[in-house]
Amino acid sequence: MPQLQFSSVAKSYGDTQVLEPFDASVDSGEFLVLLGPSGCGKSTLLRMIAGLTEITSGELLFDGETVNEWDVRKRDIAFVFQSYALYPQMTVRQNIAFPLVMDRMKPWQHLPILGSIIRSRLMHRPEIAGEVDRIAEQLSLVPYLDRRPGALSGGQRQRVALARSLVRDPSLYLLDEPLSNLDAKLRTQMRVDITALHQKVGKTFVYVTHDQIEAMTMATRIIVMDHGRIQQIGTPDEVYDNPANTFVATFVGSPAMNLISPDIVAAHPTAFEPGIAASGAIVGVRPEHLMLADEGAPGLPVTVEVVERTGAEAIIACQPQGQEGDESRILVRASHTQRRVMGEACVLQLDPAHVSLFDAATGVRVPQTSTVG
Amino acid sequence: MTATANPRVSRSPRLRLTRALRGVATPAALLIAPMVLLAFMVFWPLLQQIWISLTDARLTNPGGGSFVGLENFEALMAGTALPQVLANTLAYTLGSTGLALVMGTLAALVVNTRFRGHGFVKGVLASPWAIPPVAAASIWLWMFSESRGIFNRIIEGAGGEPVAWLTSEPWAMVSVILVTAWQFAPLVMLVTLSALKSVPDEVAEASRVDGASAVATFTWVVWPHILPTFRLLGILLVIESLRRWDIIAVMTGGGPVMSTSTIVVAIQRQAFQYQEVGMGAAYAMIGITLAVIFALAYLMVERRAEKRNGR
Repeated sequence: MPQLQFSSVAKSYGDTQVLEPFDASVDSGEFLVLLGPSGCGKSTLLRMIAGLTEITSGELLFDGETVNEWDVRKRDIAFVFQSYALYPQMTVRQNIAFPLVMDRMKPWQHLPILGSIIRSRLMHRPEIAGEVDRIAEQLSLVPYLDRRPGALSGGQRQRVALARSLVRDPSLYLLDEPLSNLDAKLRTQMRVDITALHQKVGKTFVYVTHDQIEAMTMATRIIVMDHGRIQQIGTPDEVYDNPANTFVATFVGSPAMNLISPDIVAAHPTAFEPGIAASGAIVGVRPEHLMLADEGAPGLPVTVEVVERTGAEAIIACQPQGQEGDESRILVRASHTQRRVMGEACVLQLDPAHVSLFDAATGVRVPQTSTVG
Repeated sequence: MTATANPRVSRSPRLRLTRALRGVATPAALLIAPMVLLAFMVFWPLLQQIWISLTDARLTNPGGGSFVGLENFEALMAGTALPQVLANTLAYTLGSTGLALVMGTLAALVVNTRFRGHGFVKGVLASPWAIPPVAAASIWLWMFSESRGIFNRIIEGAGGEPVAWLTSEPWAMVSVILVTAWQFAPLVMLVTLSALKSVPDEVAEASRVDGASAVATFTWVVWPHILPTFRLLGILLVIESLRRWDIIAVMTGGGPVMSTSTIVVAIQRQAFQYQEVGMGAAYAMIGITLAVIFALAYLMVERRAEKRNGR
């Protein structure tokens, strides 16, 4: 169960830098999620950990040992591909048993015909057959063991891919968007299953996703990436509560964190704490840390634009008075009992304990010791 | 009432007839041309050939032979030539197909790896396919020449005895097989190469993660993937070898002492040298039977594979 350490690890193809140098470390048994939009370099990073993609510069260490030159096989990893990458000509049973069979076959036994005989004998050995049955049982795959992947549904294929990676008891699990091809219901269920699995095996997991819900619910730590650059490393709470910059603030959380521009803040100085109003920074507030009050109360005067009821709660989109367009729209998460109607004039009140400030030019988080309290 | 409720039923019978006709008319129109062509170019000549094989027709009057029943076949069965011709045909067909498949696949595996100048190498390896068989055979004729050929020069240079490549057994058969395989191999290479390219990268990578070596990845992942293509190439080459005449005709003419006489060479000799068209047609019937047997075997294997894959 290795501790992973990245030391100035970077990747480029020719002149194109796809991953800028970064340092990070992952402790044993952690569930690390690499989170970012498509093309941000997260899958490349995962493949570099696996040894499927070469590291251009820097060092990757497993328990203090440099593994840059290690072959995939030596790294003792399991990799679940986004496309599942099942062997189409093999049955589910043969797919799951494949890593075990490969471990036990000698190099000369991989000849056609002879190899098939040896493989089928190996698969009948109790230690392989038993292990395959046990994993299949665990992932409810027993009825499908003699089918081929082509005859399975997406969810079943996904479970076969998981089973194949679990069967060998590797020390590191790498998963590349394994749930992206599943429907919403199945995804929720598999999310729980994978988290339970992580807790059960207690190994290090590195999980790539663009879905921030997956990241928030499964991770013990998240690395947020964008354009080949690490934006923030932290626990889900840290990333959610104290985003390092405006990218993280808007990428993590649904609906995203509201970013109120310095112009609006300057136009309504009394609506904000004195320190915030004077800072000239972008004000970031999560929708659940905003309250709507009736007109006349102290706060930012707004007009209700849209009310979206989702059952237990309502998302209310407001526009600061005198503003228009998507840029300045502010979303409020309110209880479904709040009765607001479109066009209604209200006042928006901020919870000062949960305000983030970002530099207006760079978007980087500004420390705000003087403003909160 | 129901007619107005359902707009489909409310359409006039005439309209329905037109629609039904349209469903049949398009495939029928598309099929008619090839069917007519096949009838004139394949089925009719085939029927004629069956008839001729049952007559004593001669080249001077191919249509004018009289019916002799199975006499031609009886003569073939009684003679000593047929077993040898069949053995030669099998040796030549399986030898050149097998060798071409092995050479072409090895070439495809080499070209499939990325190296500097692999496009050039691919072009060079593919070029024999473009050379007309008679020209190719002429070039090899010169290389196989007993006195001036490059092979014997090399052997003599190394201190060996020169080999009568085209005029001794079994070298004559080995030589024609080699040249035929040399001509077929580029096709195998190109088709196998495209099959290799269609192996999903992630599946090959998964096998590496699962602990498979390069050889094991080929055996367990790549080979099953290209096997259907390989089978198809096999049957194509078998059929192609069964009817290959030009290379043998130029290089050995079927000799020495009939040792490279395959069915087509025998047909040509019987029908055009000995002018016994009826006898030649009987040989041709045996050739067709062979081709049909190979094709049926292929279809059976293919059907079994499809059933196994659950399609």
